[in-house]
Amino acid sequence: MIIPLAVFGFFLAANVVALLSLFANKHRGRTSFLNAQRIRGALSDAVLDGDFGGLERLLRKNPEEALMLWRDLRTAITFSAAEIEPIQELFRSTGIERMILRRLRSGNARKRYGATHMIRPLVSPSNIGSVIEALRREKKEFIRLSLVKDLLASGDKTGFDGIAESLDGCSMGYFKSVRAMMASSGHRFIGWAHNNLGTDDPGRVILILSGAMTHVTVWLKDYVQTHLGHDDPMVRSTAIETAEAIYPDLLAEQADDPDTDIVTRRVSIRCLAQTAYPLDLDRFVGFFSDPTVQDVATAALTGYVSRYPEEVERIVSRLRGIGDPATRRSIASCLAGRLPFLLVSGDDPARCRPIVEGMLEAGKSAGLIAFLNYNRDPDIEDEILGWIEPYLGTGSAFRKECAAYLEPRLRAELGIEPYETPKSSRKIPLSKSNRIALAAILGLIILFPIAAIAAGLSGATIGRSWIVAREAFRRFTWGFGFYAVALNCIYLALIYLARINLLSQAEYWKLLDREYLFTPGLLPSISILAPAYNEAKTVVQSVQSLLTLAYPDFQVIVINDGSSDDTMGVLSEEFALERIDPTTSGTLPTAPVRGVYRSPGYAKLLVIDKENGGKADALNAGIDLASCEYICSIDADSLLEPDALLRMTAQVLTSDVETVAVGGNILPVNGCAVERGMLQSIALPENRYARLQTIEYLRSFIAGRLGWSQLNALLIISGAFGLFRRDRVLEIGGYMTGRGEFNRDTVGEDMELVVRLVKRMGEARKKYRVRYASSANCWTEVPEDLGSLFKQRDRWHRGLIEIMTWHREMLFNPKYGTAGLLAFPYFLIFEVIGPFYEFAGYPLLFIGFATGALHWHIFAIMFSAVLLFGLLISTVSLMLSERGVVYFRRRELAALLGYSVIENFGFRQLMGWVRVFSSVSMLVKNKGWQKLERKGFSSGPAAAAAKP
Amino acid sequence: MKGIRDLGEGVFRIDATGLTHPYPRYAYLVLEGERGALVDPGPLEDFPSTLAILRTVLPLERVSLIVLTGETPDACSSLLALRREGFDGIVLAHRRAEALALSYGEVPFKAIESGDESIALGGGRTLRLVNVPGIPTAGSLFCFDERSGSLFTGKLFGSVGAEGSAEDEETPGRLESFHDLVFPRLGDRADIGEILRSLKPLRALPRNGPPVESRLPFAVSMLAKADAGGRDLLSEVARLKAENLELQKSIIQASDDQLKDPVTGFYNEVFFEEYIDSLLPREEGSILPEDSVAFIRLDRIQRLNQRFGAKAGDSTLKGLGRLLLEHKPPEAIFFRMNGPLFACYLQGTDKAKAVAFAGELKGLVEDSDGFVDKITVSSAIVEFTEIGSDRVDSGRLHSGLLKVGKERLRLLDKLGPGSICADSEITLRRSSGTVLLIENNAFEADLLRRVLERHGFETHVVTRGSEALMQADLYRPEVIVSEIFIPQMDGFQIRQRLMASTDLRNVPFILISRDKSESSVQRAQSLGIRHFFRKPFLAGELAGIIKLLISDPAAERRP
Repeated sequence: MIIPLAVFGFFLAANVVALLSLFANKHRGRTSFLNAQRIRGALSDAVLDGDFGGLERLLRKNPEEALMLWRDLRTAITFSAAEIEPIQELFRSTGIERMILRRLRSGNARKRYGATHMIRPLVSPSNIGSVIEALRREKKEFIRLSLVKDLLASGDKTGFDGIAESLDGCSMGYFKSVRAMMASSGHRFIGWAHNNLGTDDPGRVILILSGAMTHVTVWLKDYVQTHLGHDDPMVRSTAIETAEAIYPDLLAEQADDPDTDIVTRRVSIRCLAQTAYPLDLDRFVGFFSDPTVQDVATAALTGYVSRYPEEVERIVSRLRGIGDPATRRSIASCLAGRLPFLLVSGDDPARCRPIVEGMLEAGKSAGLIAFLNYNRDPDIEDEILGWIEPYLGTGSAFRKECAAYLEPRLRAELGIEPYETPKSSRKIPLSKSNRIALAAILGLIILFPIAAIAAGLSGATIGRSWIVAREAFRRFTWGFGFYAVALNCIYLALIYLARINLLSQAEYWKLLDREYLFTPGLLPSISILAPAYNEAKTVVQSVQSLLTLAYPDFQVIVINDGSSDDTMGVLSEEFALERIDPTTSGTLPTAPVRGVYRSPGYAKLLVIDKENGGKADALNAGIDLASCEYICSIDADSLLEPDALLRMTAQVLTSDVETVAVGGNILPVNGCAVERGMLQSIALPENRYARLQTIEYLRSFIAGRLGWSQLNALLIISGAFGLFRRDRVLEIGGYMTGRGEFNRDTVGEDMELVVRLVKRMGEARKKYRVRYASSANCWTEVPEDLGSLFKQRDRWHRGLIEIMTWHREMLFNPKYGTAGLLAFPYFLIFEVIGPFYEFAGYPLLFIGFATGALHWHIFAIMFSAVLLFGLLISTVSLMLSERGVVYFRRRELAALLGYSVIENFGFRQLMGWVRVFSSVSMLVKNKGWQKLERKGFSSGPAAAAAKP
Repeated sequence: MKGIRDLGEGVFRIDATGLTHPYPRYAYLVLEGERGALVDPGPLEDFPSTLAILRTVLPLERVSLIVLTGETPDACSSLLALRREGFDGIVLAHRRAEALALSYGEVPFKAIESGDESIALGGGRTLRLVNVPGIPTAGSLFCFDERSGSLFTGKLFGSVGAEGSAEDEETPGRLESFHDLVFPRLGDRADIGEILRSLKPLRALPRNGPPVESRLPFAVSMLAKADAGGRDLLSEVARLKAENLELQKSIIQASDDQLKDPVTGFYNEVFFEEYIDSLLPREEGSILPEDSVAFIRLDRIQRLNQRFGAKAGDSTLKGLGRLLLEHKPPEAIFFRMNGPLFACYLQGTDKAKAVAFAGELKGLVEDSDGFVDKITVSSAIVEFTEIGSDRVDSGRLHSGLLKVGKERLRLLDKLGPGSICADSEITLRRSSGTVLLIENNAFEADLLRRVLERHGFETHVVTRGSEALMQADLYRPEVIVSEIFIPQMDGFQIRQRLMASTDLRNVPFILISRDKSESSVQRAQSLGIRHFFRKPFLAGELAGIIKLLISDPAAERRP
């Protein structure tokens, strides 16, 4: 009697406490917001009106917060020394400076990092020594970079000495970052550099050479020149880089000097094409016959042609006199972009023949076919058809291209049979071993609850003994209860971890101000990949919105995945797209790319037009073209908050361990007001299924993602918003598609990629991190009717099971760290097997209670453990998710809590049953490996485990 | 057209406003012998001219009936005034409208209980009042004059349009959307159609549109035809509208609240007007009392809302109200006007004393710590004697006060926060130019605005791309300062759109951003942007450049 009441009471009390702290938390958030606003007001008063009263009062209570806000102010707008000094003095008088300097020596890295950011506005000649000392001592690179920023921001000459010293024996990454950061060196750099011209210390030389990028003087030019041939490779490469950017004429001389080393020569050729006008063609043609520099020469000449269109004719006429086929091919490909112009202008199209031939020999036929398709001049057409005839031999690559893409009329004229491009085979039979493994797992899983039900029911119906039936019921119920409590305990542990993760993320984010994040060279560059399939209505707005993201260095690559609507047309019109000859560096096999375009007005935008091949295929095409360090996959219809990218890369910035992937926070956009691709206001969805999903998403982001990411065992990063290191993704062959090395398609390509990344890192025994950015928000549409919801969940679960089966060797394998030891078993037990338990568990519990087979004591305990415990998880998740960010109003929070009660009566069970259905249907119908008919891609986190 | 129009058979239309499509407001008069019935006498603001027009046909004392076709203030808020001027008959309305009607004063009221009632007007003429539950305005009635075949439909059919107007092709669409808004449910519409068919009116006379005669059958058929579901957007609007109506109703039903401002609990602007006018001396030619009104405005409420959330403004107003009450001298009465504005009527107080009082209040407010942030109030003082005799004679003292008051409040804008203005003739420190600041970070925007204002520029801040274009169009700034990272449309896109406008393309455009890189500078140059500051920039430098650009615009605009 007492035990059930106690259990019930315990959980009830826990819920009440959680609820109270949820609302108290909200209040606290509001108070601290108001406080910050007061400090902001007081700071403006102080700097503008010389009214220090308010600031002094507020400083007494929270000097640290005031200091951070003061830093924010100063990094946006500066004032005269007379206006700033009194406030600096005010801050110094609080003694906060001494406290920060003490923290710089702390053993806790996070504290040290915080101190490096807080000291920035206070660095002065009197304490710069301590900062340099800290830099000397510091081992962690990300903290060292922040210290470098402190020294640069101080504007004190001795700071450069400290930075120069730190370059001694540093890593390549640090070297590059510091070099780029020198762009923000102040005016005192010139004086310092002048004093140090005579030094041989490589650190100082590198620093002077890097600073020469932004400071241009005659003596610095001489300095760069004298160091072009320096023995130290780091010094040399810095000198060359500066020379290429600022003084290309210095290098142009050395382009055909056989004594120069190959790296310098390659750069020199680029410089030559950049500075010389008119270009000495006879001299330049020579580079094309040298295989070591031929590619550079091609790129340089292409650039030259696009800069000086009037030079095209001269190059064309030069082309005729070249006998060497390889050289001819290369030069022809430089002119390929100009071909349509050349053909229709001038009286002699025949002069283009060598270009066309060169292009065909080089295999660059896409532009030519496009020209033939839209050309309406019969004379030119006849002429070209005559030229290309010899290249149309049976089985030649060009013939195939024509067969696939040439207009039917021309195709008929040339006598080419139409030919369908090979689509990736979408039905790949399940391999025998895979099927056995899957059957074994599922067999075991299904057996247990069925046996339990059978035992229970047979006992009752056969009438052998009521007691046996009751016993079976009871056993199963206890088992089920144990399962539920175990699951909820895991959640509780994960939530605890999530809290740690969340707080540290919030703290780091508070430290990182925009000024720091926008320091040149600090953040990695990002290529945003936005695959679009039949999105003509929304694609322009989505792209416009992507282009307005706040990030120092990014590009947007839109991939039109063979849309059947006018997606390409609207893009082309809006952004005035121009076709370019892409220089892809990747090697991922994808469906054929029809063309790559850029926009003259938007330097950050690239568009790929390709044949349909599915989302993963489109992303692979984007990865191929991307030129940045990281790639960010998003759905074309998902909506990013302006600072989402910054928040994601803040994860990369605050650790020395290689961050291979970062997941973003997915939230349902249903119900929110959206205007011009920007979120206007956040609100709960109207639709109740969407509301139920809101609760699921918030809970999964706390318990499912942040917790796992704290353990470095995060395996789920939604395809709607995820960041990956491009080189690592290329290493593992990109997303899994029906092409290339995998030859199989999956519906869970996003999770599969993460699992494979983790697997590769584990096998290579490299240290890595997979993170989850808690407030990098991406808002996306979630299904509002049960039908689509079922379909979506069915897809997620299939994806999960596919991945679990393919990568089953990771299970309990210590080689893969926490991912193998914790995350994989968790997914197997609670995500794959669990639903079967729940499938049987909930009905049995109620049947048992209704028939009297279960004593109400047990029922009460079960009820508390399953329902109240679950509710507690939801409440705590809600509370944590509202940390530092305000998503919902009080009333909406209350509604969400209401829904987290309701979902226990039907919705969760329903979602569980969908999974059971998916698991069974994968085996029974044997169509599990075939991609759904859908060729486009709907949005939504492909994460199988959105439901905790 | 303002005035009265004979519609035949003793039916007259009174147009007190002269407003035309789509917002006319008509009252109707049914005349039989020496008695008359007034249908929907209209809102208080129309009352003076309604009365004047009515008097040209019939003295008010002879109006024996007033019919209200719905429970809405703009049909009947003039009841009290009518009564005061000598109306001595009965008000007829649906039971639902009783509370509202009586809230305007004690009038003999007869509630229409059942669906259909006939009321004798005299001379054998009767008006039939039929309840129409299908119209979402509560307490809706059709009033049917059988003699002339006129059906007074309230708001229904107001959108049909004038007879034989050129808009015939558009009419179905307009009607359809109107019906979707007003009658979202088909069943109700069918209901209305049923009533219309049984009454067989010859013409419909809506309160807000021209008479519908030849097109009446068509309009009735449209009622039934219009698609029930409507387009999603429209039904959404209809839902919002219905919600709005509910809200309005709940406010109105508490009749006391009708005259009070829900935020502060003070009397509202409507009451202010009535009260002020009631102070006018009864006899002609007598002089006005030496009373004053102080308009007290909370400064920069937008900034509060922007900084502390949308509710901060209201809660500050509430607190300010409390503070005012605490320090209320016995001769003062406070009113809450529309917007962040209070009016304080000071009996027997001349201008000099009123200014002193406003000064005291200003000090009190500025010293108070009870608000989310430091706030200031500005006051405009108007003495009654300053009001021109024309307004006094026409009994519209309030409008004169408001006019002068608002003029002085506008002057306060130029004087800066925390000022007091008691004179319209003061000379202003002229603003040295208008600047539009486009910046998403509230802190930086606020700081920069203060810097620019200090240099004498009138500065307007916007935080979103779409707003930027609208505001640029509105304020016609001399210089635009913009960050690149603006949600919705970045600084470059804003510039691009501005370039498309003939008069805004020449406005100097200054970029401020942390992202001053090769590519962004290139893009800026391609858009003809000549000034690009990398953050952090020197505040004085930006202000100096703006000053130069404004003083020597030719240098910038030559291309």
